[in-house]
Amino acid sequence: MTENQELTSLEKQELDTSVHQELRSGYWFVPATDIYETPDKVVLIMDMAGVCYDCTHVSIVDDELIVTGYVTHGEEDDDYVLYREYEVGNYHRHFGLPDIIDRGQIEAVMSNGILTVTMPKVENVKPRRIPVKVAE
Amino acid sequence: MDFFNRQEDSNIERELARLQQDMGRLIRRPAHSSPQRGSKGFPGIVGLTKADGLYVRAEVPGMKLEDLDISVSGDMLTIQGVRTTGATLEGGWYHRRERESGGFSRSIRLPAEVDGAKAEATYVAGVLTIRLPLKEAAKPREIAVRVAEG
Repeated sequence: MTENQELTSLEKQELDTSVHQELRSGYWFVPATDIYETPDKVVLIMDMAGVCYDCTHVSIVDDELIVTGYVTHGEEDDDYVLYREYEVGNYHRHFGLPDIIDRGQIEAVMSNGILTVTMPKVENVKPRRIPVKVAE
Repeated sequence: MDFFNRQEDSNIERELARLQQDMGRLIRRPAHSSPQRGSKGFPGIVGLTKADGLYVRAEVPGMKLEDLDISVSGDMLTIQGVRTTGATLEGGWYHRRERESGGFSRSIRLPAEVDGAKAEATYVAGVLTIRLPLKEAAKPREIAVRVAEG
């Protein structure tokens, strides 16, 4: 995808109940996610429109990173909806964590409905440059 | 084709649709829309009313304000912008890319009752909200009823 391309439609994906059965009420969506890896970290970027930073929960349970976002800016009690193209709902997704992630150093930042989780790799898998000495 | 003329899947929805039709004069269909429910372009929109006017909401996470352009021209509200999702990879590589980027433009025809010149937009947590206040003449008025003697 390039910036010159026209964005046409972006359907939110509902949680797949065969993988995760949600028993809480309301709509639940899987946030669209980009994942990239550099030599020293793995980064997750998630679209979670309507979720503020203190309603976002990122936790590690066993070997999984679990992300839950409760929507707070989406609908209000006195809304009288006349026309609707999208549903408002919470977000949930989990990711299996490889051993190379330094679990104590994971950081999460929420900004304008985008959650960025930065997961540094453990020291011994980061690439290291070994200085080469000249033999006398 | 009508804004509210779509397949309903339950009695409750039918009842709500009937109620909505009563209010339906307030907002008409967006220019270039198709009849089925679901996203018709980016961003998807929700149109609603409150006591203080008509609101249009859209989920556009991760926008910089300078990349969002909202304008009202005549009876047409236009939301356009460019969403950029690419990261500076710092020598890395993608495992997954689900977040789309690109330019977008949506136009929505406004009902005559709203004052486009007084439109206000806010952007919080990736949700764009445009408020269009009602014109004075369109605000509800109470009319006193007198009892005629006779």
